This record gives sequence, structure tokens and C-alpha cells, in this order.
Amino acid sequence: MNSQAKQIQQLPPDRVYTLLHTRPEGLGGGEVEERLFHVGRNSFDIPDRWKTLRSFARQFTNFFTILLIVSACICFVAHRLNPGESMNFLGWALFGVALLNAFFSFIQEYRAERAMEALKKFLPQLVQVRRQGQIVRIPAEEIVPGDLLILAEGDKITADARIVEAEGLMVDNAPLTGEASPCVLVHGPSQSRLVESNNIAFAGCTVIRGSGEAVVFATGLRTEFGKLAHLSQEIKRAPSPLEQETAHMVRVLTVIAVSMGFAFFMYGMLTGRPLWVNLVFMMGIIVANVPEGLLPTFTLSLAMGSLRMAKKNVLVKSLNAVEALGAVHVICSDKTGTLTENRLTITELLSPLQGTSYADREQLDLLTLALAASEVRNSEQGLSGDPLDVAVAERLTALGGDLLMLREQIERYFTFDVEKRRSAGIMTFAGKRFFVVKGAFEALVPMMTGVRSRAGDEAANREVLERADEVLRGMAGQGLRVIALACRELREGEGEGEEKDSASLQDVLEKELLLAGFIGIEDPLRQEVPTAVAKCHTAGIEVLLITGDHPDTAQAIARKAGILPQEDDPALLMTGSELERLTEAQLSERLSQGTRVFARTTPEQKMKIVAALKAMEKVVAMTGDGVNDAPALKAADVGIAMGRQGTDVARESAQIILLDDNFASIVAGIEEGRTVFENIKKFTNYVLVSNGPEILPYLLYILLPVPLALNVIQILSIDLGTDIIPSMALGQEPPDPETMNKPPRLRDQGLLTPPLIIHSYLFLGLLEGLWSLGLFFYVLTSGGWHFGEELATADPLYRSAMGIALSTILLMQIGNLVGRRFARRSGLDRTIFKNRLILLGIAVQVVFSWATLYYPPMQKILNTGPVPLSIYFLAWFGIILIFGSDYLRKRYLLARERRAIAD
Amino acid sequence: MTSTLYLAYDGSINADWVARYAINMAANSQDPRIILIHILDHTYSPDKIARKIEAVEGECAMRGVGTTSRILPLRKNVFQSLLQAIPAGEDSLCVCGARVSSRDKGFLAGTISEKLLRRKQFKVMAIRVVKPGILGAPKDLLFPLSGHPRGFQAAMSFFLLLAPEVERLHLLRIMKVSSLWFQYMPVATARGLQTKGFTYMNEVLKELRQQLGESDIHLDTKVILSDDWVKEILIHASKTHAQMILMGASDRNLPSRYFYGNKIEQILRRSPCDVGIYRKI
Repeated sequence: MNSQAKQIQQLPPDRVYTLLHTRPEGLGGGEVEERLFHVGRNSFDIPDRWKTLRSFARQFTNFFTILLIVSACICFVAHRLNPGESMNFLGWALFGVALLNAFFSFIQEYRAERAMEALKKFLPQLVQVRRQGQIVRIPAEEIVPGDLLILAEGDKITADARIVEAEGLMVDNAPLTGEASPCVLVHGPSQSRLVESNNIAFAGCTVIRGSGEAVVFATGLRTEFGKLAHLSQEIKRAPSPLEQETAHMVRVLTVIAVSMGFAFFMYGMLTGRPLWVNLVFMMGIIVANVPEGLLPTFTLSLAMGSLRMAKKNVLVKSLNAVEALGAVHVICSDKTGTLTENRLTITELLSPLQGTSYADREQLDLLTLALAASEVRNSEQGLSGDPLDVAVAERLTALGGDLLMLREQIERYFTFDVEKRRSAGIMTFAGKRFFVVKGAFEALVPMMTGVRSRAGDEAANREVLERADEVLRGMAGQGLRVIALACRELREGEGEGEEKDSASLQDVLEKELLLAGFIGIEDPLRQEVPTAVAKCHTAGIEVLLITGDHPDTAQAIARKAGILPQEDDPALLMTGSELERLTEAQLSERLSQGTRVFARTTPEQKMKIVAALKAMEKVVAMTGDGVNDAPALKAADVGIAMGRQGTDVARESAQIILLDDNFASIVAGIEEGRTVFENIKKFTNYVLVSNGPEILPYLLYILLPVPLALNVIQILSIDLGTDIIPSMALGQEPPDPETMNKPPRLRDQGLLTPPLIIHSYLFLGLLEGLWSLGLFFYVLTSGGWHFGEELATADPLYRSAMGIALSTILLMQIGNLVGRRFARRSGLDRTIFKNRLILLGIAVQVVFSWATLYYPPMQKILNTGPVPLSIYFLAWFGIILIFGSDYLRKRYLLARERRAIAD
Repeated sequence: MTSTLYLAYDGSINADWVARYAINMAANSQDPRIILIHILDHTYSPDKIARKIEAVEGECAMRGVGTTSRILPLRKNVFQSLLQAIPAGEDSLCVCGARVSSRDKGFLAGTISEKLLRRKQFKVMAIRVVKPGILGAPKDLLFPLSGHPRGFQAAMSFFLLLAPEVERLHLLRIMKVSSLWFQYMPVATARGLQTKGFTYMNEVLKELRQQLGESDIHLDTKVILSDDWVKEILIHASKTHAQMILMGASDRNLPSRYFYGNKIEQILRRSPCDVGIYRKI
């Protein structure tokens, strides 16, 4: 074996030129053309002229749309065979619904493009490059590998490039890494991995200081930012639990409807009925079986749920997310801003050796010194500046310090240096001039000669520094960010105009410092978070904390929030580097063993956590705010972006936006989502009940020589007419107090369960069917009809019989509606008056049942006729019959459950 | 790893980039030697070709790889000339480029590389380089596995030539499901397919561990159910920051006349990283 091969970041600049086949003068015209031909333009867009059309066509492949189109086609055929039945109108209506359905789904999919548009804003339109020795400004799309980029302050970087020259070059890599601190770039070789190297300028990032030159080695989708864009675009969110369950329900109902329709069509053909009669009959049985109004009611219910959620600061972008949020098993939450207030507060001011709190007077002195190394400004919103500096000023004011007067005493301020990890200042305090340095303890140690102590100042020897370090670690262990403060008294004239250059002057002054104290800062936990987390635990929802912070900080916050228990258990925490080494299966294993906190993680590791949780069949909600959170937000079942601190890219990629960035709002949203699902279950049950009396007449009609009790228009008047408002009313039912005391439902727990089918079709549906058909035949026989006799469609007796059948179903749906409000309670209580839609639903059923029989325009549309009032009263008895039977069933089940608990 | 490595070099910038892979693979083989073959088709001037070959030889020397450069006259066409120049058999490995050949052609369809892969006269690895900064030494490798009964056997010899630089090897098994069925597949069926995928993957892992012994390579596996395996490979490549996708070719998946909808062609066109298409004989 020979020497190890190297990648571009591991080479010195001169080799970079050679190996990328370029020169310090840049590429020539022919070379650019050849490379452009090979690798394509520096763009995220992949030309695909059929994409839009393909996406639209795909919307017509789902079962429901296919069913609607096939039904429409059958209607057109039936109309052609027998024009008098106006089946073409029904055909067009069904076709319109199918088209509308496909169009809405297409719009949803098309909206995903908006995340890509938001990402493109991070890239420049024009860039400066050196070509053939000349600096030229060219469109960013024309950049190729080997091009020499000229980087200057404020430039957006257009491609991944290896730095070959750098002068104080500092970039903001936040869009890619999520790291808030700027990153210093150098031109020397680096032994790190390519994506972690400090000599690579990445596309999508911005130069914030300095200048440099860099050789491009990846463009377009091959850049790291391009991959982010690719993932944001390509990752399609898995169907929500409700979508899956709806698809399952539609499939089951379609299979039942089509097979029944086809079987009876064949039966009709074999028994010698005319073709058009069989076709109309088949249509009828399909229409009777399919709850046409159910899917639009789902949408309405979700829309109403989303409005209620918006009142709780949860803005829903995709309706399916309303219910999906209620189905979550795990919430993966950020720390800053979501669990915490995103506001730094000083909570400790400790002496460096004893680790004890300073008295108020000492605190005031320490903070006064700290102010010298802080830069705060007064703005309309109050104090502004670096959050740490603002925290110092706020605490100082709280302790009674006169900020205005003290700021006048500051002679000079040395800005915070990312590399040095400290800021400094000169201030006159108590008649003396002080040079003060504020920053990371490790950064201050080399220039310290002493440490302040209650027993007198001590020399900064190894043993003293170890003691100080111990105090510092103790503070970090409580989740505090620790800032050290050191100072020294200046001699007369020292630091006064000796050096014009700030950096040089700071270098001269940074010596013989005395460590004055430690300032402990934290971003306090939101007050409502521990209760919200506890509520999640009661509701069987796990909460994971994923943060880029130090493990100690993460652990401390997680303990305060209740995510972690108070006892120390290392298995519950994992760092990003550990996570990097695990396979997805190993990560799933760790998660099932109880790991709850992920510290020092990168945003892209969130995706790995989501994948592992999904492999465990969990429904995952993920919060995020950064550009690079976009893929994870799309990969999760519910992506939640932050409304206040979130980026446009995150907001476009998420389904839900938290308007107040507050974790407690997620929990409020979950409660609403669960209620929506419970209500969907209620009205699905309600709607399916009316399918029973709709199917039964068709079965009798094909098997026995009796007239058809309901025609297609009458069925549609129930499914798409009178059942809609009661369904919406059930969708508006308030949350059950027990909602958040139950565990989330399992992924494979369907909406259309066997008990629900039996209850809907074989119990209540059958009851409705029998009572309505009973009255139908009662009217017929009392009018002189005898078994086997055929009746004309316009026969007044037949019209009256059909009228009472329809009217009875409408009235019995009232008993069904009230009974559906609760699983075990009667449904008749005071709260019924709080849901006005229920009252409206009942009124609609009553009015329509009357109009069906006695209002001529309605009689004409529905082909119905009047019946004597005594028979109409019998129809009203159906309400008591269905409600009473169902109540007895509830009592029986309740008693059985109680017995089971007692046993 | 006793194959003789032949670099089919056409003088283009892509060939220069592909040459880095060839050099690296040769450096990792037991016989660190490259036979560079250029067929004189006069696309580039002889002077330019000579300069470029000299540069490749220089790079080889720096890596301790011996070079023999053969500039051969064109016989019938470049494909036939290469067939004559490279000895047939398991011992020859031809590294060539996959690139846009001309207007309306694919990256592989209709190219000499495609013909070489299809001919199965010697081992072939066609490489499309889109990120030249990797310099032929990918550290993160993505291997999509099609579920071949021979497991990793066909891929092993190609992988071992890149292995010394590899830090992470991502094995991806996509259980293909038809689009219509995929939407309505019951959970139990999905679980069954996943289990089947993991069983296969465990076998491959065992085979790899046996071959690699005490290695620092981080092995990661993933089983995905999908109706669009091209999309999944590309997503996984972006997710894992793969620097190269290495995938096997067969008569069935090699693009020919109707290349636009061809899966390999789609990967070559949309890949976020370099792609290597290999075929054993």
C-alpha cells in the first residue's frame, strides 16, 4: 500500500490549483465551457419539463378519485341508455368532485416548492471571479469547479470552495450548521473531515469580515447547501395517520360497494332485467355504500380544529397536521426559545475560590466592572446589544446601578473577538482606572497572575486555578453558562493613546490580570414548561430534548423541565459525537432504553433521530427554526417551526408554526388534535349508520319483487345534505376531560374498526333500515299494494311510501346524533345546548323530514308524497327507538366494564 | 486485488478527474500500476494529450504508482480499439468516465463506457465525477444493494480498491414496492418486507466484517420500502453526505436507447456526489 490519498482540504494551496486543474490567474474561456458541459450550471433546479404534469396526473391515482371517476362514467352510460333519469347531472357532479379533489392535492404538493424559493435567497445572483487574470462579475449560475472566487465582506458564497488566500476572513455558517458564532477561515491545510474544515467556504454562507480567494470544487446540488435544498425538496412527508386511516376506510368501503354493485349487476343480468335498470341499480348500490359527505366533513372538521388551534398560538399550514399532532408519540424539542425564554439572565455572581455568592455591594462592583467590557445601546425596545451584555446591564440596573452615569465612566471598549473569546474595556471606577476583560475562563487564564479571594488575593498558581476551575464546573453542572471577569488597575497614563490600533492596545494591556469573579448566566426555563411536560407524560407522550448546547446545560434544563428525572443516569443523555457513531438500529435501541436528551448535536442529526423513531413506529413531532432544520421538519410526521425566531425556510418546510415559540402551545395543540380525532370517530360512526337504511332497500329490491324504497337522489340528499350539519356539530364537540389522560393511539389503530362497522351497519343501521322499511310497506299495503305488484315511479302511493321511508331515516338520525356525543353517556345533558350546531342539525333533520312529505317543491325534487299525520308520528317514534336501544347498549357495556374492573 | 488497472483516458477534464480515482485505486492494490490507454481520435491535439498524460504520470509517481501510457491508433472506433487494447478476463479492470457524450445522449447511454459495461469482457468501473474536490478518495461511500443472492460478492473487489480511504460505508437496501400497492400496503406486509431487508443486510454485514477484519470503517445500514428507488438513493446520498455512490450494473438496468427514464441514467444526472457504476464479468 502507498501513501494515503488526500482530499482538497488536506492540501496546501499550490497543490489545490494543480489538482483542480486551475491557476492563480483563473480559468480560460474554453476550460469554463468544457466544465460547464460536464457538470452543468451552478443551480439547484434540475430541468424536468414533465414534472408539473406528472405531479397533477399522480393525483388521479388514489382510490377515492378513481372510484368517483368510474361512478361518473357509469352515470354517463346510464344516461345514454335511459336519458329520462337525469343521470348525467350526477355524473358531472361526481366528476367535478374528483377534479376538485385532485386539484387541491396538487396545490398542496406544489406548495413544497416554496421552501426551495426561500433557500435560493441565500445565494447571490452575481459573483466576482478571476478568469484569465481579470476580475470579472458573472452570473452565479456560470461558476464551474476550478473557478477562483473573490470573497469580500458581505458577499454571499455561491459554491463550495477551498480557501487559497485569506485575510481576517470570517464567515457566518449558520444557514448550514446552525452555529450562531462566526467561523474564521484560513488557507492552510486541515486534517478534519471536508464538511468540518476551516479552509472551506460553503455555498449559502456569508462573509462577515475580511477578504480572500477560493477555488470552487463543487457547484449546484453537489454543494452542502445544494444537498440541503435537495433534501428539503425531495423528502416527502409520510401520509399522516388520518390520511392512512382515511385511505384504508375508502379502500374498504370502495371494495364493499364495488363488489356488491357488481354482484347484483350480474344477478340482475342473469335474471333478465334490462341493462339500464341494472346499471342504475349498480350505481344506486355504490352510492348507498359510499359515504359521499364524509370526506368533505373531515376537511371541515379539520379546518375548524385549525381555527381553534390558531387561538392557542398554533398556526396550522396543512390541515392533516391538526389530527397528526394529536396522534404524536414523541415530541423532539429544541431548547432555546421553546423550552426556555431565549433571554439571558444572570442568576449567580460567585467568588472564584470559595464559590460563594457575593453580597449585594460586591455584586454591584463586579457588574460595574463587567459593564466596562460590555457594549449596550438604548433603543426604542429598551436595551440592545449582545444578549450577555444586555443581561449585565439589566442586572446592574436591578441592583440600583446608574447605568447612564456608569457608561460615561467607560473610556474605551474592545469588541468581542470570536477567536480570542473575550471582550475588554477601560473604565474609571471609584476614582481608579481599570482594564477589564470578560470572557471564557480558559481564554483568560494565560494572562492572569492572581485570583481575588475573601482572605486576600492569591497568586494564580496551579492549585489556585484548579480550585477556581472546580467552582466553574460546579456552576456549569447547574446548567449555567459561566463568564469569567478579570481586571487590573492601570498605572497613570497607561492605555491612553499609546497605540491607535485597538487590537494592539488590547494585546499590550492583557497582562497581570486578577480574576475577580464568575458570572453565571442562564436562559431561564419558561414557567409553563414543567406542567406541559408533565401533561405530556400523563398523555403517554415522550419528550426528547435535542440541542447544540453543552451536555451539562442540556441536562440541567431537562431536569428542571421534568424531561429527565432528578437522579443522575448517563444512559438518558447522548452527545452528537456518540450519536454520529451509532447506526439507526443502535440508536433505536438506545431510544427504547430511555435516552431523552441529545446534546452537542447538529441540526442534521435531528433527521437521524427522526428516522430511528419512525423505525420504532412512533409518530414524531419535531421543532426547528434554522435553515438546516428544513429536511428534519419535512422528515418528521409533524414539522413545527418557530414563528418568532424561525427562518423563512423552516416556516415553509413545517406544517405547523408556533406563533409564540412556546412548548406549552404544542401540548395545547395536541389536546386539540386528539379531540379532533375523537370527534371524527364520532361523526364517522354517525354517517355510517345512515348507510344501513340506504343499502337495505336495494338488497330487497333485487332479491324480492318489491318497489325500491329509496332512489339515488334521496340517498344523496341524506349523504350530501342533511347529514352534513350534524356531522359538523359532532366535529365541534368540546374536549373530553380524559383526553390527555389516555396514551396516544397506535399507528395501526384504524378509524374503521370492526366494532365500529358492526355498531354502524348491523345495529343502528339495521334498526333504522327496518323501521323505515316497515313504515314504507305499511303505507304501501294500507294504500292497496300487494306483494309482487309493480308501481310506476310517479304513482302517488309509491311517492308517499318513499317519502315516509326517507322522512323516517332523517328523524332517526336525530336519535343517532345525540347518542354519538359520548361513548358511554346518554348524550342528553346540559352541554347539548352549548353546541349550537347540534341544535341546528336537529332542526335541519326535523324541517327536512316534514318538507319531504308535505312541501310540494321538495316533493317534486325528491319524488315523494304526503302521508297521514298518524304515520308521520310513527316516524317520530323512531327517534326514541334508536336512542333508547343505543342507550341500553351503552348501559350494558358500562356495567360489563365495571364488572371487569371489579374482577 | 491482483487485477491490472487500465485507465481509458480520452483527454477531457472528466478524464483527468476520473484519473484521480484510477490512481487512488491502483495505489491501494497489490500491484500499484496503471496502464493508461488513449485512442487517438483527434478530439484533442496530440500536444495537449501529451501534456495531460505527463501530468497524470506525475501524479502517479507522487503516489508511488507505476504508469505505462499507450497512445494507440484508432481502429474502426474507440470502443473496438479499447476492446483490442485491454486483455479480456477477470484480471483486467478498466476505469473509464461516465459523462455527457453529445447532444441528446445520456451520461452512460450510447457512450463507450456503456458498451464496455455491457460487453462484459473485463471488469469495468465507469465514474461520473461531479465533485472534483474529493480527488478520487471518497471517505463516505454509499452502496445501494439490490438484494442480489450473492450479497456483496460482486461489489467486494471494487470496494476494496477504495476501502483504505473510506471512513463510513453506508449500505442501503431498498425494498421495491409498486406505486399502487405502496399507498395501500398493510402495516404487517411492510414489517415483513423490512425484516426481509434487514436479514439480507445482516448477511452482507457479516460478509463485509469477515473481509475487512479489524477495520475502522464505520458501517451503517438502512432498509427502506419505496416505490421510487432512484429518489431514495439520491435522498440517502444527501442525508449521509456520501462522497460517492457505488452501484452495480446489469443488462436490465443499463441504459440503452431509451435512456431518459432509465434509473442509472437518472442517478448519474441528479447525483449530489460522484457516482461509480461497476460490473464484474
